[in-house]
Amino acid sequence: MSRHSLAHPYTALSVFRDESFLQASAPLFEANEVEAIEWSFDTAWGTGPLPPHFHHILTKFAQQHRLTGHGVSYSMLSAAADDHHQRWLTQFALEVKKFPYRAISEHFGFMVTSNYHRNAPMPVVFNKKTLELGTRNLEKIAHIADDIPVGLENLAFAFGKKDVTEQGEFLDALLTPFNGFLILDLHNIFCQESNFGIPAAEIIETFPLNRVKEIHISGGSWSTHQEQRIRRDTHDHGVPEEVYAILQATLKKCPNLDMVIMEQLSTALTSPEQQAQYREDYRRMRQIVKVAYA
Amino acid sequence: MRSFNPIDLFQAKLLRALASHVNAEKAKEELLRDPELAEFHEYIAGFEPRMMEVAAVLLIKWGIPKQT
Repeated sequence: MSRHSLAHPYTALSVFRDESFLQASAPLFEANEVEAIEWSFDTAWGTGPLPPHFHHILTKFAQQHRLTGHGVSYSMLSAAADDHHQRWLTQFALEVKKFPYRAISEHFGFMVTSNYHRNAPMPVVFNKKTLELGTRNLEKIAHIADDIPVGLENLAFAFGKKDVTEQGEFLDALLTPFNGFLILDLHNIFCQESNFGIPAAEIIETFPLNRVKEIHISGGSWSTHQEQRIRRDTHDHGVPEEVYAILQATLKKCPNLDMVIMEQLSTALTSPEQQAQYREDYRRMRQIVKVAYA
Repeated sequence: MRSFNPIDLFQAKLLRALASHVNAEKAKEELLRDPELAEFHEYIAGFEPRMMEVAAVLLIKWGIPKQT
C-alpha cells in the first residue's frame, strides 16, 4: 500500500448531495482545500438520479483518482442476510462501473438479522465461526471490487470491554486474506475511551496500524444511561478537542495512511453557524495533517 | 421465521430482547438463561446494561422489524 505523490495524506470530506452540505462545503471546494472525497454510494441506491452538480463533483474527483467509496448497509457480520447481501452486491457490481473508486470500504458489525430488515451496526463476539462468516461476506465484496483495495471501519458501539479490546485483532484477521485496509475512525475510539475508561492511545495500539489507509474524524453527542454519560457517534456536532488530540498522536503511527476524512451529517449543517464551524473543523484537521508531514 | 444458524439465533434473540424489555438487566438475564445461546453466554456476561440501553435506543431509532 503506497501513498500518492503528495507530501501528506489527502485531506478529504465525506460528501452528501443535500443543499446544506453543498452550501457548507462550497468555500472549501472553491479554494481547492478539498483534496479528495468519500461517498457513501449505497445511500443513493433506489433514490433516483443524482443531482447533476453533485454528480459533477463525484466525476471530477473520480477522474483524478481521488474518490473513495464507503458503503454503510452491507452488514458484513450478519448470519442470515443472504437475500440482502445478494441485492447489495448486485447494486455494488453496477456501482464500481460508474466511478473508478480509489478504494472501497464497509463497516464492521451486523445490521440485518432474520427478524430485522435493518438496525444500527452492532458487534459480535470474535471467534472462529464469526471470523469465517465475516471473511465469507467480505470476500464477496473483494471479488467484485477486483483490483480496488477493500477495507473495513472500526465500530464505535460496544456492549462491553471485550468488544473494545478484541476489535483490532478481529479486523486484522478479517482483512488479512484480502490484504485489506483499515479505516481508523478516531471519534469511534473516543467513544470507547469515554464509555469504557480505556485510554485512546491504548485502544489505538490494539489495531493493525500498518493497515490504516484512511482515518475518519467527526463529532458526536452525549446521552445518559444508568446515570452515566455515554458518548455516541452521531456525526451531528463539530469535532471535539479530544479527537484532534488523538489525530495528532495517531497520524505518524500509520505508515500507509492515504487519506484523512472529516464526516458530519448534512442534517447537522443547516444553520450558518453550523456551516462555519464545519469549515473551521475541516481547516483545523487539514492544518494538523500538513504540520505532521511538513 | 425461526433461524437455525447459531450466530443468527444470537443476533435475532439479542434484538428481540432489546426490543421487548424496558429494563436492560432483565434483557441480559433472559439472554443468559437461554440454553440455545449457551455458546454466547460468556460474551453476553460481559455486556454492560448501560450499553444495552443505548443499543435499545438505537434499535428504536434505526430498527425495521420484519413481519412475523
